Amino acid sequence: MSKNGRARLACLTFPHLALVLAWRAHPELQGEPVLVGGNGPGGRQVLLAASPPALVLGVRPGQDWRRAEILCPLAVRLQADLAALAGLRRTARLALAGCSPLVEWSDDTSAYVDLTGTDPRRQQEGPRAASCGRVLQEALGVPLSVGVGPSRFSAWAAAQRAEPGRVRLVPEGKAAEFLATWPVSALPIPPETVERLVQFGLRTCGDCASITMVDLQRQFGSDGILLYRLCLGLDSARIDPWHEPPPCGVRRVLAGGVDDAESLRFGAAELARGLAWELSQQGRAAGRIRLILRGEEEESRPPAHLDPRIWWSEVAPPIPMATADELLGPLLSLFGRARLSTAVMVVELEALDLVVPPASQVSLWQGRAADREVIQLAVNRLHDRFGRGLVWRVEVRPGHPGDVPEERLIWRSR
Amino acid sequence: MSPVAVRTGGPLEDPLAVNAGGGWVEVAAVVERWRVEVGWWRTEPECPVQRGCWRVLLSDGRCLDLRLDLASRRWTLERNWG
Amino acid sequence: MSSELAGRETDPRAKRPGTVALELALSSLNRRYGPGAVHSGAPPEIQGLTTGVEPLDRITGCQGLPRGRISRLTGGPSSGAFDLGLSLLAEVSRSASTALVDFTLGIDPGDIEAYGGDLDNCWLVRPRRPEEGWAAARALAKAGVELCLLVAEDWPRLTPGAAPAALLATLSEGACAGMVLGGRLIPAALRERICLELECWRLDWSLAHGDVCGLRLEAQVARSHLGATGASCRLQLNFPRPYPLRTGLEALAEGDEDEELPVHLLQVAESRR
Repeated sequence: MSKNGRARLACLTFPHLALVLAWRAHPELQGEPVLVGGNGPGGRQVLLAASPPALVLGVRPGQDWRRAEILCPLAVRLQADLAALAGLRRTARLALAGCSPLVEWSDDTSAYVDLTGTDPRRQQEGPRAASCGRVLQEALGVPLSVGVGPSRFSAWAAAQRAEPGRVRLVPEGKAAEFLATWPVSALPIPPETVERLVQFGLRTCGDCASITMVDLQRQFGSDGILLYRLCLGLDSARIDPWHEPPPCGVRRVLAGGVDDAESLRFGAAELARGLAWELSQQGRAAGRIRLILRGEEEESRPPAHLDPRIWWSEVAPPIPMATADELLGPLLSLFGRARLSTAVMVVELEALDLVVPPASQVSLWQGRAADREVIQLAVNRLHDRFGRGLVWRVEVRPGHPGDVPEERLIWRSR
Repeated sequence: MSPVAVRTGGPLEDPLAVNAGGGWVEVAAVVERWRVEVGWWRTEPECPVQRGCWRVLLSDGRCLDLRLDLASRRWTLERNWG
Repeated sequence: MSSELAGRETDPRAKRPGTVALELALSSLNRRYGPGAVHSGAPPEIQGLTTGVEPLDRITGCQGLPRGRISRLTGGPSSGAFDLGLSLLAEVSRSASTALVDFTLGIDPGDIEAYGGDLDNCWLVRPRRPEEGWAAARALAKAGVELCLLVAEDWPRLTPGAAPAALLATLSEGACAGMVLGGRLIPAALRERICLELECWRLDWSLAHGDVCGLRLEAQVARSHLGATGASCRLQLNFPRPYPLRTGLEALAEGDEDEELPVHLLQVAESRR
């Protein structure tokens, strides 16, 4: 535990996992400009990862694929193997989970480990961070950098300053000093805010830290509070721990057995609804689903691929499935492939390669998009029942300095 | 925010006692005072905002933010901290 | 997870005389005092909704506010209970949907934002009649908000008889943590269904540059269905400022403490159990 009880986080940064896989498959591409594409929101092709020589030319992960190709015409272009990516991600997570129960996998380029509570009598945080780094380095096969600090941003910044294969510590109480020379463009704030800061002559974190929080809030609203905290290394130190998700599936026992594939398809919608509900309980989407048809109802279930009395098949659509509608199409295609040698007594549908649903990744800071829709529907029903003016959403009027509280907010009833 | 009765005094016309509905309570200390002037150019139906604000500690231990609308001379309890 | 098709018959076990009466009694007690109030064997595990303040999470007995249950924050005027409740709502809103049922019709949601909350994750209910507020709390809890904070001064007047039981039944089906705040007296129908009661009292106002900028408070477990009472922790609550800090040199009066202005965070001074 640090001296005054504050958090200490380690940030491990590494090349994007998609690049790691590309280098494993093609070692000769190390040092070359490489673009790795994948499916983004809405199914459009986006840039998932780019090697350092390509990044220098201005490509950025998340960019439209066509734009990335234009910016870097001589780069080697590869498509991400999503199944392999999910496998490597899981391997890396499990490896880190062996070091600490508090690991957050931030994205496929960084992870956070909570070191708060490291007993200084037994092991300093530096060696502990280094051992986490070694474990992950072994799992990925590429050198990575580790930073340790009192908050997420300071730990990430320390990792940026660390050489590959090394640990950089931000000493207790020195986060503001460490961050003072960082440019504001490195902060996780909207680009418009960065632009305004530069216009004000605030180019570094040290410049921003010299302004009072209230003045920053007056100019930038809630972004100003965040900005103040980031520049002093006082932003969140909370970890959202990753745990191996519990198995997710539904099982139906068919009284009397069914030997007709067409009849089985009639139950597909109900299966899809059941699995969608299970996924919603975990807040996950399935990258892959497996349909298993069993000829006998039995409690002890050997692995599907070993038992000849069991027919099974899998499908992995390009976009993870979370809702019943998204599951139904792929499920029907699986039923279409079914070849029954005996009457089916049990139908099982399993969700595999669980991920955060794509819509939630886009609005991560604002909560899960699907949940908000459900809440909005409930609010609409309340308004229908009791009239408008019962439930409100409020937002801060942009640019309002806050001197007049009653004018500061915009109220919306629906 | 709710209307409140205030007795003032002294050279700065600071609140001396406050009645927020539970009887008069003496002001033990004025910890801060500030002024808000917004929108001097506003015309009807909007109004310019001109108010004086005080943060006071009462003798019963409460900390209140009071404001006086300089146009209407009405006192309002803006915030009861804690 | 697996489930069976409806329609598969299971042979009902023959029940001994007295078993049915016992089951009815247990069911009645659990309906009245909350699910799991009476149980055999190990108590049902209750998940906690983290408050973001580790010592506060520790004293609750379930690592946060109990999900599926109703908690209460109580304390006298200026005890810090009200602002603590708003701060907790703000903290949770940064990562999850929340609801604020404001029976007082006087809470400024700007305070939630000033405490660092995400107003986009806050649904504000301003009921004109008490039953509207309770119905909205149930509906929003069922729809998936993770914290539902109900604030009132006059609970006896604003609590229809069956409302607390209905709210608790809804909460227990999901993962929402309910919390009531405000007022000194609460009716028995609500009191019996409160799983965790935290009492707050102010230790001291925090001063900076001669201004009240926060307070230090102690929160203690006054009642709990989750474990022992008496555990407490001390918290430093920093208020949002409505005006800019005065700049420039000023003469310090005798005895003034020139404290560094604390940043706007819910910090922990110390905790004890």
